[in-house]
Parts: sequence; structure tokens; C-alpha cells
Amino acid sequence: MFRATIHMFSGRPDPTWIVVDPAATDSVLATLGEQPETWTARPAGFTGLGFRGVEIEFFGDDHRADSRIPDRVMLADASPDTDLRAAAEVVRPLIEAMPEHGRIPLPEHVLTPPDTRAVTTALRWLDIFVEHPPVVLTPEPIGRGPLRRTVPDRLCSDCQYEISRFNPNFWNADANVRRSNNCYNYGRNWRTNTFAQPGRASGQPLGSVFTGADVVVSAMSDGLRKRCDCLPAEEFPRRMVALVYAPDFEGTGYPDYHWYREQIGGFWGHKPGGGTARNLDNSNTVITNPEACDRGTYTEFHGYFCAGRSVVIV
Amino acid sequence: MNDTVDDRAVVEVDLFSGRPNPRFVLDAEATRVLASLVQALPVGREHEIPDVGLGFRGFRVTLGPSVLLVRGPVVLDETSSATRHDKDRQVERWLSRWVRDHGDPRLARALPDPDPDINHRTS
Repeated sequence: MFRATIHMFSGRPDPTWIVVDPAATDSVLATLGEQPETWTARPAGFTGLGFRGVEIEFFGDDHRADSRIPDRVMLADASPDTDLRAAAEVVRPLIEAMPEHGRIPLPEHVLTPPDTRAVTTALRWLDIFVEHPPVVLTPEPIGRGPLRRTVPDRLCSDCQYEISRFNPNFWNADANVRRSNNCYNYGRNWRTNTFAQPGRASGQPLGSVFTGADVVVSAMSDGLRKRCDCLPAEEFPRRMVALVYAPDFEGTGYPDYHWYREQIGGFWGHKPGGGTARNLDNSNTVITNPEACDRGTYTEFHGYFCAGRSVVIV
Repeated sequence: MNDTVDDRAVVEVDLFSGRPNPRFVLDAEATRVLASLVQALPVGREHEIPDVGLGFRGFRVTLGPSVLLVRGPVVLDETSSATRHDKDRQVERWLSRWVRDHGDPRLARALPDPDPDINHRTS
């Protein structure tokens, strides 16, 4: 006897049903035992909106007498080290049999009955999930792994740069530090406590009105280089940063700019002005692509740049 | 109270990411009104400060020896970590109104509506 749940909705209950047929339970246990690559007891797969896998929870405390399957397993959630396509073939007949096994009433059935409509929807979402598997991030835990790593530039094969571990506490713990350092400080990774401005150190400061191109000129005056204009190893550590620009900040008429910095773990960090350093965008989603993330009023993307050790900002 | 620099609150609108934020100096009377608004709020042991990203992140007010972060329903004294609960966002609304009327009216478009009830009734 087990309970199956398809993790797919956000607000309404997920489709869930209880299987009491001993033969069906034995069949599932046998399949899981024969195909360990299809499930995990420690889900680390997709957790965003949409299809997120099928969870199976065995009810009896002695089912392990006949198997080595844990009490609770997750299939087809795109966890690393699992075979998503094979898992999809395991869960597909389970989902198809949902109406047949869904006779035991559950509170969730009021809003999400285990009917053919739920089957059709789940299978359609499963197919899309398998055909277009999500990118599952496995960020290294804070406090483990190297502080900094040299990586090749996937867009420019001759270039290398350094990415570092996300360390927001360095910027957030002290209120004075937090309010005295902005996105340019974070991008360059220099905590100057001066609310640094592009070009101020190099005599090419911005005026009160400026364009995105002006920010590029001032930043390059400080020593930043455009991506693919490779920085030599002597410039270690070389930060990969991205510049965006708000031509008319929320209708106020003021322009503003913003920088992101690539971090270890496949995401980007940033520090919105005197606010907190974070790796989330304005939709509270981890930033994996500064070109596509939710940037609010910063609508213009002005490219990637590298900031080496010789870059001075104040 | 004499209108000396120490008597006047400095209000920073935490708005921009790169360029420096707008700052305004309140006169002594406005400072007294603001201080009384803040002092009337109940002191709480802990209130979670909402974390926000790009865009308006609140007001930072230097008021005497204190630096206050006004963000929605929370007023945090960054120098002592004491927090006050502003359920109706009176301080935030008062500051929005002051910036609109005495500071820079263009900024009002990016600030919380100081008169949401009035605007709701007339819209």
C-alpha cells in the first residue's frame, strides 16, 4: 500500500491517491528495485513552477522486509544522478492508473479529483518536462568548496576568468557597510564604503544625466574590459560582470545603472544600491541569466565586462 | 528648538542601485513631526524586515544619533537594532508625502502612495 503524489500545482492541491492493491504495490516495489536509477530518497531536482516529479510514500513499516526501497522516494524530478527518461516510463503507468486507484477519498480530491482530466494534464506536463528538462542548480553550500575558481569563458575560448563563492554576509552584516556600498562595489568586489561610481577614480565621472553607453565609457575608464577582450593572468582575479541600465527609473526621469557578478554555483549575485547583497531577481528567482531575469525598471542590457585586479573604483 | 543642523533630520530615499540616492534635509518643524510619529509607534522585540531588490527599498532617516530604516510596516533603528511596528505605514506615507510636496515631485512616481485611501475614493 502506498500513496502517490504528482508535484505539479502551486496553489491547488497536487493530484494524490492511495494504492491498496497488493499486486500493484509489489509491482512498483519490484520496478524500483530493478531500476534504482529512476528514483532518489533525497530529492534535489526541479523545485520551480510546473511538473516537479512523482512522490511515492509506502505506508507499512515493514515493507522493507521484502525490499530495500526507502519509505519515501521521488521519481522524475530531474534530480542529479537519476535517469529522467527512464523514470518517466516508470511513473507513466502509475499516473494512467490514477482514476482506477483513486477511490479512497482524500481531502485533496475536493479541489483536485483523481480523474481522467488530472491524468491528461499530468501526462502532458510530464512529456514537456522530459522533452525540455529544467536546469537544476546544485549550488555549493556556503562554507564549503573553494573560495574562488578559474573558469574558461564559454563564449570566448581564449579567455578565462575567476568566479567566487557567494558571500552575502560580507556585505550585509554591518548596516554601515550595507548602505555605503552599491552594485558597482559588489560587481568589482571592492568594499570601498564610498558608494562607488564608474569613472570617479579615473577622472571620467558620470553626470546627473547619462546613458548606458556613458556608463560603459566610465567603467572602462576605470579599467573594465569588454568580454572576450581577454584579461591576462596577471589581472587575477578577473570578475565577470554584467551591466544593465534604466533610462527612466520608474517614470521619474532619472537614469540609473546596475551591475551583476557571476558566482560559483551557476548563478549571479548583485547588490541593489544600499540594499542587501542577494542572488535573487525581482521575482525572487535565483539569477541564472542576467539578460533574462526580472530586473524591474532596468530594461536595457549593456553587455558583459571583466574587471581585473588593476581596476580601481571609489 | 533652534533650527540647527543637529535638529534637522536627513532623509535618504533608498531607490537607486548605482547612482547616489536622493537626500533631503527636513526643517526643524518637519523633523519634530517626524520624530513624534516615530516615537508614537509601539516598540517591538523583533519584526522581520522585508527584503527587496531593485527599486524602492524604503527611507533611511538620520535623526539625531539614530539612523532609521523605514521600510513598509517596520521602522528599524540601525544603530541600536530596535524596531517599531508601523501597521498603517504612517511614517512611510508621511515621508512619501514630504518628498512629493517639498523634495522632488518627480520621485513621487517611484514612492508608495501617501494617500491611498483618498486616491482609491476618487479613482
